[in-house]
Amino acid sequence: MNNYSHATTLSPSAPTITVRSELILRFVSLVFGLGLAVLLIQQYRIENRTFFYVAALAGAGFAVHALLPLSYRLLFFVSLSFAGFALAFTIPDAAWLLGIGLSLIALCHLPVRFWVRVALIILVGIALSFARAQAIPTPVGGAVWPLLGSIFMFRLALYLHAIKHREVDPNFARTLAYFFMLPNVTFALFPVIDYATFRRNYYDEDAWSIYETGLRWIVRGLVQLLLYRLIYLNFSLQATEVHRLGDLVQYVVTTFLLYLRVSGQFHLVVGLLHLFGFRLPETHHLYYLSASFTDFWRRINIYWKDFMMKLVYYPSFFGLRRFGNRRAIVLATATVFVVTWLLHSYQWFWLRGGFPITVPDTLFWGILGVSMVLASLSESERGRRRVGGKARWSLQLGLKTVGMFCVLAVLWSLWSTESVIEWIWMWRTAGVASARELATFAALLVVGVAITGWPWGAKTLRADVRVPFYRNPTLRSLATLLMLLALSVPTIQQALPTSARRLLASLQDPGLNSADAALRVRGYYEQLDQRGALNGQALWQEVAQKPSNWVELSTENLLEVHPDFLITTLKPSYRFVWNGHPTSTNRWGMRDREYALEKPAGTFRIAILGPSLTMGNGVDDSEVYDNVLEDRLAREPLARNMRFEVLNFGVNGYALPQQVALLEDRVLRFRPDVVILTESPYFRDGIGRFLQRALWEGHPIPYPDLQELLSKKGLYPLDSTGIPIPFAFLRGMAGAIGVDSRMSWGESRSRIQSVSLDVGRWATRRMAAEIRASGAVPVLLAISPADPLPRDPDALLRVGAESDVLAFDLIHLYDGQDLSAIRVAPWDNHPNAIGHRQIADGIYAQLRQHAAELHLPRTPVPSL
Amino acid sequence: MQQDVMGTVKGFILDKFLPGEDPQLLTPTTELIRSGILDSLATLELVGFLEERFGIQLEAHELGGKLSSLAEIERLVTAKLPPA
Repeated sequence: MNNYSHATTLSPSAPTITVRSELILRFVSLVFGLGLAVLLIQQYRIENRTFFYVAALAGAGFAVHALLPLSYRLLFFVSLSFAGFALAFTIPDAAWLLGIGLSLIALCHLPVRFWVRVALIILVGIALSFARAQAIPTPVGGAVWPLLGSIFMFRLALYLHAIKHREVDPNFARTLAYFFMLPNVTFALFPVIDYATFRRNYYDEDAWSIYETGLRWIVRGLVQLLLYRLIYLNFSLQATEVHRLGDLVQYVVTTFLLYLRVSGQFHLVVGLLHLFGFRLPETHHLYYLSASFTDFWRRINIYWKDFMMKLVYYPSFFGLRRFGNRRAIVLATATVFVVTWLLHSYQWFWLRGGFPITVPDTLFWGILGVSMVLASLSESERGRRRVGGKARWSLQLGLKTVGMFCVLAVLWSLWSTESVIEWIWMWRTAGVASARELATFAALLVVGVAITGWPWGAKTLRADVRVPFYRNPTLRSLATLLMLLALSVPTIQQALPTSARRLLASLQDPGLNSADAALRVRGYYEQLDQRGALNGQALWQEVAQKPSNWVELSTENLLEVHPDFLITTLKPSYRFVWNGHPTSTNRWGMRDREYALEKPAGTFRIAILGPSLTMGNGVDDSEVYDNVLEDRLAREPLARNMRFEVLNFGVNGYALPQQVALLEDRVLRFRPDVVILTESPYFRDGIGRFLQRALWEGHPIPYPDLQELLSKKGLYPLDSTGIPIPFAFLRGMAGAIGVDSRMSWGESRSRIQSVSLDVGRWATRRMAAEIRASGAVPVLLAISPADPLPRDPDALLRVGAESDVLAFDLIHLYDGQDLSAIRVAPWDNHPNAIGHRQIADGIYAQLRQHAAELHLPRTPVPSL
Repeated sequence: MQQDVMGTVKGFILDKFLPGEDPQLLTPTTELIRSGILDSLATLELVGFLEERFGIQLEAHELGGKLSSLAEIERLVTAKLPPA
């Protein structure tokens, strides 16, 4: 039975003026705090715009809800939640969501036997999963599936469990509140909320304490999301960026810390629910301070742990205990981890549409599961001291906590890395360390032990004691909000040192970090559905917006496959409309206007080579920057009586080595006066991707010096037959016993990454020499896609300087601009027509500035 | 009998999971699961004790909310005991 005696209101029936004035003060503090939280969400652009609307709706809704008589509150919460859904979705999508959802709830209450209901729901679930996988066509919008999955994939099981054990409340409003909770509007990744707890804990304590806890957890969630952003944008690395011990430690630790995003979101969800009387338990409890595997399991994602206990662990234990408690504990724990591993993929299927069962994923859950079984056995034998005793610093606790953090961070890094081999390869760098790095690492461990030796957040049975006013939780929440808001004010930021200013600016940036930007540059994001790690969240969120009818280039026949080093070129005289943009090639296989092979007299010819950005993915033929530049040069020629032609040899995905091959194959035949080699600061990724394909597909490498460069790294020739075995010495041992082995894909990727800069140098040097030999001027155009810059944005320019080519530096062309206004689409970082116009203007300015070096006749030129 | 159930269970919990704690702080409404006193292993240990001590059989679905406080445990055990 629920006890609602604590659901106080501000009604005149309050016993004394003192009590009423205290309640008014608490009410005003809460409303003020929620107002600040909403402002903070806006100032720091936390999550997305929908979250801001939901937070504003929840804040305003709270102010009304808290003043309503208790009997109206549940209905009000349901109405508010529906208003949120209506706000965030189109009417058809909201109708589908509601229709399918209500049908599923209705199935739970059919007047037939329980197992028949379960069977019906499973059948409907299978049908829905086919629809979700687009195996059967439905008119349901793409935005509906993740939310439908989020709401029903686990909560339906808990609801059925409650029905079976007669824990369901006949109040239909509660059922609607349970399934269609307001925070679900914006958070698809959602804690698994237990129905029985949801029902039992509704206003089961003093209402104002529940609300204040809600505000506290909302603030905690916001702080965690800001910390996540700080780490994500400033400190996290890709595995391929790990070159020494310092990088390795940074990679391992920051990968683990990125989980802050999940715990931040869960705190927000549960905090918001507290504002409406749902006194749910904490979702995460200082999980970075776990001192053992079992401790970690109890602290991280507590709702999932409870879900597993209820539906898997206890039933398994009861079913197995006839074999003895010890065996039952082992088997029940193992079952929990197998089920968790499978349900993790099941969850990803509903949220993203793909199954991320990968080797790192399997290893992660397997190792965690085995460790948990061993830790459970040990704990069941030794027992665990839980509460009691005086809290004091303990060296043993500090060592255990720091040790466990390291173990978990290493495991987490395995889970987050693309392949196990890449992960193992990364650990080779642990031996590359300076004395300073070692000292820093040791100092961090010592500080860690000193801090974690205190039993932070240890729960106690002691009743609440009066705390001084400055430790009042609401006051601390308000102070935190005010401080963070103050830090978002430009005038305050200006008073801070540059480094602090830069970090603060990153807190207000909801964009991608350079690692995810690199993934997007190399088109990797299309595989995100297959990945399980949570760290791709930010990237996935953008990619998830991509409509299902968006046409990828791979589905068109524009690209022709070559068996040689070019691998692909553009099909000549090809026309199609690409996502609404007329796209065509001329008779020479260039995305450009028609040109004669012979250069007409009085013509200054500029040839541009480059990847998709130069080819003009995502814009009309006439909007590609070479055409915009050519038109401008016709209107405002840089030399009198001179005609300018700008020839676009750009090909989707072209890396620098392919530009070498294309230059020799056809570009120089057009007798250009200037040859512009185009690349982005992500050029090493492009080289890596190209070489990986060229080597594994066995494309011949016609350049002896490049062959030598690759063979030094054991990459040429690359044997693609045999069993993949990591490391040369292991392959040598395998060969000694007659096993035919080869390098694995992951190892070759890591090896290629280590040589990519040298390959970039080789390509640029070779092209520069050939262009000069032809009488033309080589130029390196460094340009960035509409994305954040990588850690070392100037590496490409340094490569150019070493080859003594003229550099056109447009890397910072988009600095200070809203990148979303320059991108083709949120999921496509190619510049749109505005971005291309800026590139054309940038090149025009550079041509004018370097007219003499480009051998342009000295003539007056119009002003810019 | 009710006092016996409450007292017996309280004694077991204090002895097993809260050594050194002031018995007065463990009240009938103290949240055993939420406060971390009862985790999964401790719950199983308590189940074993209740079944053996009171001669009752518990079921898996009773291990959540019905063990959430001494008062809830007393209610559960009393309901399963044969009438006096």
